[in-house]
Amino acid sequence: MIFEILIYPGFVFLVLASMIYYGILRKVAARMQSRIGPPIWQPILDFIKLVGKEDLNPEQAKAGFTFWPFIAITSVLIAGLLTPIAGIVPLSFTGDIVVLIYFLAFGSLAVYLSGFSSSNPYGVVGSMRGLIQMIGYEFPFIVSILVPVVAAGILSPFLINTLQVHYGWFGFTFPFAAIAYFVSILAKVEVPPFHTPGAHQEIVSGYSTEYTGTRLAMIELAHMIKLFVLISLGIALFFGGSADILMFIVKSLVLLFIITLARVLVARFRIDQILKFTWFFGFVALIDLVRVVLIL
Amino acid sequence: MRLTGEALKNVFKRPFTQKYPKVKPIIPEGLRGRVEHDKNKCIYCGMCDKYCPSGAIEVEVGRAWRYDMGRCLFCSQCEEVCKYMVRKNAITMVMDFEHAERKKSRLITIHKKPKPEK
Amino acid sequence: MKEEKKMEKVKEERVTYSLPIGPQHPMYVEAENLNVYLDGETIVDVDINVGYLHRGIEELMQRRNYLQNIYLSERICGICSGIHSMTYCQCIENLLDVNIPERAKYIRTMVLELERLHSHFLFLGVVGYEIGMDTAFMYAWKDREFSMDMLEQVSGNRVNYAMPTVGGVRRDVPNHIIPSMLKKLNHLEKRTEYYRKVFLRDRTIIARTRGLGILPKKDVERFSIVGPVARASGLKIDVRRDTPYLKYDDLDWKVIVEKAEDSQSRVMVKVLEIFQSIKILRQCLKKLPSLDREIKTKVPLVIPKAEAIAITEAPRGELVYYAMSNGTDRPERMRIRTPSFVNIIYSLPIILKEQQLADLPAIVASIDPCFSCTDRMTLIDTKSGEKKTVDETYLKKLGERRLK
Repeated sequence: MIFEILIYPGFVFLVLASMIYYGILRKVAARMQSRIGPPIWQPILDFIKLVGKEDLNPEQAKAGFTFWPFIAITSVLIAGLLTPIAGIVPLSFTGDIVVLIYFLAFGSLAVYLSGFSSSNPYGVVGSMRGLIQMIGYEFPFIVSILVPVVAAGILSPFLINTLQVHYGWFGFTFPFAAIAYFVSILAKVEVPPFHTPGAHQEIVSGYSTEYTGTRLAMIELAHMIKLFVLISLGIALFFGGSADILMFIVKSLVLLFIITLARVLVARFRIDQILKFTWFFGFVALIDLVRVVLIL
Repeated sequence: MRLTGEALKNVFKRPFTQKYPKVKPIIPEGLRGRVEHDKNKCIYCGMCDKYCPSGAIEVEVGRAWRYDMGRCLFCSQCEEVCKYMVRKNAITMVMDFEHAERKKSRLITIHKKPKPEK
Repeated sequence: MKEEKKMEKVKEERVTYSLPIGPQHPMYVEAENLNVYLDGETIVDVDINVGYLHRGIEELMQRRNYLQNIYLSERICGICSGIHSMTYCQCIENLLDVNIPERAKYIRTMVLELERLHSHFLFLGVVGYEIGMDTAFMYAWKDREFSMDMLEQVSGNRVNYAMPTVGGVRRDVPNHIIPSMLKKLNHLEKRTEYYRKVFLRDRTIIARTRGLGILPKKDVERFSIVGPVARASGLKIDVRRDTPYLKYDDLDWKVIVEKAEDSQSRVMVKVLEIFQSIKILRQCLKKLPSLDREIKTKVPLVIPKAEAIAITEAPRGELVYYAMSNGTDRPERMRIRTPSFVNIIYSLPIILKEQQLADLPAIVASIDPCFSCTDRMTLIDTKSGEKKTVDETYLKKLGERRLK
């Protein structure tokens, strides 16, 4: 139990794997853009470098400036412990998918609150956009998650995972929900076309404009872990589940590749376009939910 | 989504960029690189000094020629002046393009007029 | 003073906050300041402060001799460096009233069109980058590399070509590089066709460019906006056609005009102009081997008292050089009017009004601003902090004072 929480597939594995996955994403994206790209362990090097740097506190910053990034990373890590990775859930109890949704949402919220507390106009605009985007993507996210939950009649992602391993993919039975889930992954981890809150060309770096050093490292790491957690949750809920590590790696890499494609191929949405787009997929997911409810 | 085909193709192609210090780029002929000065051909007349746009070349007329690469624009005006106005061909631009130095002082070249052989 | 003005704006009911964009901002490569007054995410008003890159080049030019100035004028702008030095040389040739050899004219035309190619590819990349599509940026700049290679082949340098000199060009284009250049042009033409499709049809790009940043034709005429920005609003002006210089009247090409007046039409004008540039380049390369080898006429370097003007079409619009000589080897007065100045100062407030903040980078990029060209004249009275707009009456007054 302790081993599962701390090492595999707990904290150490989560942190390292999510960094490596992000590195792979960057490398493949670079190759798609016809560049050599950074080595896949670059995020780890970046993290070590950032932790070694000085933490700057702007005079105008509010009290939350110092702790929100840590809260963000904590909640995302806990969400990671609740997610089945290669068939193992370190912290498992009945009804945990609801808790998982809350922790994931709170991870994003903490990041945006950190932007507000920095009192930087760019940070404030970025966080505002982030919150608006949350209104957009939480709807398809929750609806699409509800589909397998209602279909299986269980609230535990671990059991849904094992169910899928034995009885086939929910992604095939509920393709609309699977697509909506995928779109909300993109929106949740702010991969293009949803990188509006941190839109580099408009508002510098969005919520993380004022952050340096360890806290910036935490925000970035929370981001990477969120990506990893959402991918593994997607596998557990829609893409056939994963009983062993090999299966997990293959499936997650395929998902990662599709995410990379999205990152490379599209331009950034405006915030109003994001709302239209995500809510459209929310209603698409709703089709499947209605189907499930009617069938049962 | 119009870029899909191109992006997928690129995954399996060799990247366009190169790892520069390891892989040298192909340089076309006639690149204006470092300024090379021939001590013996030069007559130290100071025409290159007069026409150098950034003051990278300074000439003590009849004695010495000083070149500061840090100020050089690599426009090859000095080469042209030497070739067509003075007709000496003492200055040429060679194709060497890696000029980075650790010390500023190493960017400066000073050539003194060689003593005539008796 | 700035604070007061800000307060004034904030007092207006709609403005909820203001956002400084620049002088240090990832949107720009160069330093410039836009003060954006916002209502939520909608832009209510924009203040433009230019002058961060003022280097006093006109003054510097008056202290150097005519040959040194070629290289100085080239450094006004990093992207359109060729056109600056060519226009300068043309201006000095007008002072002297000399004609340059035919071959030199062709080589100059060629370098100018190569530069237009590289500048337009750069522009495509920048537009892609500003709408958050890094891949378009990478691809466009990858292909820009080919035009840079061609420039390097022709001139021996990638950015500051130092190609023209007063009375001709400094380097000949050898016949043996022509086939490889034609090959690269073919590649570029294929790629341009690809970009035409991408920028015309890609749905995410359309969502960020079509119908945004409208610059009406009547405003273009009113503020005498020039270049591709004016052509994208349906005004058919091009110095290459209106007052032909070099070989443009002998070559077969046409002026591109788009009627949609929005960001997308400004992009499309540039894409289509790349085709025209390639066409001109092919004609030049075909003509070159049959021409006389002479590339330079001899010119005196001390110029008697005279005045001259030269007008050319830079990649961004009309470029004007004025020179006045005084019988020495240095100019008495140089004056440069760059296209970006009018385009930025007058068009930005019009096209940014009532747009979304998120569209600001794409719209600003679509008029292809070149700030280092722009910074020539802002008057700030340091004692009172008063800022003056330089208008016609003010300039006339200055002139009158000088005459007395």
